[in-house]
Amino acid sequence: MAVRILLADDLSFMRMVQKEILSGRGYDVVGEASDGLEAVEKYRILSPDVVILDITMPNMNGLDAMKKILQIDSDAKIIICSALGQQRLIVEAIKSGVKDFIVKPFKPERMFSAIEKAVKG
Amino acid sequence: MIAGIDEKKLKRAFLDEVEEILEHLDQALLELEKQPDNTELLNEVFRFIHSLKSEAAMLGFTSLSGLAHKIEDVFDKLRNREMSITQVLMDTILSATDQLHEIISVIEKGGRDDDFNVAEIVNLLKSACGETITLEVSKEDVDEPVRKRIEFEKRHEFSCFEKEQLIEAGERKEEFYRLTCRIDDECPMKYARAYLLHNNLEKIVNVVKAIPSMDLEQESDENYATIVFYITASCDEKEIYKAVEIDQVQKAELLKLDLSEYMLPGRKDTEQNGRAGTAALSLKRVERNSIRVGTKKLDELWSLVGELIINKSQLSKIAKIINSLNINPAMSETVEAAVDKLDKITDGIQQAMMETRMVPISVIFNKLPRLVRDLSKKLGKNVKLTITGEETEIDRSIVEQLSEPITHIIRNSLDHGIEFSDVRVAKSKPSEGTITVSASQEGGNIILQISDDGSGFDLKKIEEKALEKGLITNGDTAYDKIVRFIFLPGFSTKDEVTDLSGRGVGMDVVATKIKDELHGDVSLNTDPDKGSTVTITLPLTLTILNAVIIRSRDHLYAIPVNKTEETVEVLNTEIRYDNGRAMYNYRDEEVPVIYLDSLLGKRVSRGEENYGVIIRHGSMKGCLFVDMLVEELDIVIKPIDDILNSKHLFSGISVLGDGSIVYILDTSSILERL
Repeated sequence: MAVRILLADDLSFMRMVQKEILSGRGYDVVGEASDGLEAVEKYRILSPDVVILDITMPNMNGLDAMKKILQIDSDAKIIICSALGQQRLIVEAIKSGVKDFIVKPFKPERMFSAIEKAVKG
Repeated sequence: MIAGIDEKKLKRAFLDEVEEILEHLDQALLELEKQPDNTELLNEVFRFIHSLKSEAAMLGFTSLSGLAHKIEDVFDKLRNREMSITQVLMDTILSATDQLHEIISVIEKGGRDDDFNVAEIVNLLKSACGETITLEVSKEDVDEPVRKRIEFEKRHEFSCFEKEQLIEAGERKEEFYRLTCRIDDECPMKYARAYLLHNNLEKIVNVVKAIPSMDLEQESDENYATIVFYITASCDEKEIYKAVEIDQVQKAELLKLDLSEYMLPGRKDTEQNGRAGTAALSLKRVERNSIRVGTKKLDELWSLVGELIINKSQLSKIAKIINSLNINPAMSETVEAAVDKLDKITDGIQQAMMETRMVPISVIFNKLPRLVRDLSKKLGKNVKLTITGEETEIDRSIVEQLSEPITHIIRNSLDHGIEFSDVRVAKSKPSEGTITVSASQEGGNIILQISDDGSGFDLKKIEEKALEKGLITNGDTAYDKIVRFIFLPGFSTKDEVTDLSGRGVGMDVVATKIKDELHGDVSLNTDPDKGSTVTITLPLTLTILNAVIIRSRDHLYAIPVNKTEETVEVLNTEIRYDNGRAMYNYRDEEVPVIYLDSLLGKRVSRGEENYGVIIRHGSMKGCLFVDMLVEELDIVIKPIDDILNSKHLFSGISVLGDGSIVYILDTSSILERL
């Protein structure tokens, strides 16, 4: 069965690109969220295999959303997506239990392997 | 944070070690100022600051480690001869280390180091580097491979704290590995990736050391391309490999090391120690000569020993009673032998416990060179400091309180005692002034002396002041008495700084501290134009007192043996009255007779015959009249409540073996009010 993915990014363009890349590879993007709150809510409803969370989002940022999701499911496989220069935030995310992170701009392969490793781990 | 280690314990260990490092650092820096070209010293300072940085980083004290890092940079430049030490630089470095001290003391009190803004001092350090950087030597002078080698050695050296962890891991029979991971060249944010590795590892192993350190912004991101972890683990090697199976981590190399060789001081070459795939570890147990024990635990133990001593004397009393009943001579003998044995054991415990409380006075003395340096510079005076007897040991609780008075006395000497060079030359003295600080043990006392070869106290002015305050009458100007005024509370206050040429200011505070809180004594010797000496006498310990127990009316009192001269039998006829004052001739010296009754505000009633205890304080003596001399013994001092001590006659109370209460007489205060 295809890996079920939840995408969270406030920029609809970014979500579109990511969805395109993922679907092309055979992943199943089961849901999209435009802010942290929505991501948490959708995680609860959809129970995806992997969540890809952008750090900078309105209402609730990626870090807080990640923490909330981990509260719901401590086994949640979360990949943080960040821009360059957010190293400090990533370290915080690692401390809180994120499985991996990818840095924008990224190559599709990088995203795929991060997902594969997260699913395996 | 290191997995599986109590955070509090970690912090304590950190503080203990950092304080030690800072102390060494301070000394080395002052020495360096004298010998700026001493390469060994430069390296030493570098090592101290480097360990400080790494340990602070390990616990996440970023301001602390950041500042230390900047100082380290400076010393790196210095030892590579890229710049040289200048006065400006030295001053900046010293104020930077001052700030390190401050941060540490805040952390010790439970605060965070983030509250500190180290930016200013960091900038100063940077600009200090910039100003002197013109002296830069061409880098080709240094052999590059050698430098890299030194760099490797330095980074792979284990701190004491890390060694402790290794020892503990050895005790848990864990294996010790070096894990080298290489991160993809094109991987962005290598630090975060390395951090992820570190984080994953910590879930299953104990990461003793990571090189480069995981402290953020300590190293440029590229430095994390290759990262070396020293880990101890009890899990399978496969699991370790799995933990580092992270995207963008190219390869991981696990190498088993011999733990025992790393725990020994002066570790050998790292490369040779790694023996890939060696069989089970043959761990050599390293014998540790000392362990760190919290002072709180020691205090608890100490208070139990106090109780034990009380109980023991109670038991001896009971034994004596049993024996006097003469019920069964054989049994009496057994009881006596058992009590004797117990006596010896408790004595041994008391002695051993006392030693655990003792610390060398160098703890305070080591801070003095810096004080003298800074102050003499500020005042524009040329002063040399000589220290002797810094190995003398003294009770920890006394040491803690001594720093302030000693600092104060030295300040006074520097400020008001030692003259400016030209004045000194005019007086035909050496242009450089000398302050001598010494410590020694004499019997049950510690003697501290702080001398200067300055101008001495202005006795004339002190006398005028005393006359003005009505403390003495004209003609009553004995040297001893005048000198004593300096120590009287409120005699010299701040607004009289100029009146008294400042000298003596705050000496009353010193005296109060030493007499009231430390049960010690302070005296002064001063000679115009030759200098002054302040002598502080302190008991070895504050908690156990060797005392003479006396009875007066229905109460028991204790007099510290170190404050007594002798006990004498006094017949009423031996007392002479001089202007209504009772005097006793003690060894051809007329000493005032002291009646406890009158001190306590009661009517004095006298019997036919009395005993006298000759007490002394400095050069003052008195004959304390008592009904009975009971015994001499060690008592455990407990603080006394002010309600019971409204007249300030006592310095504490104690409970004897039979449960009776004794009041410990404050002989200094009694003699002073005569």
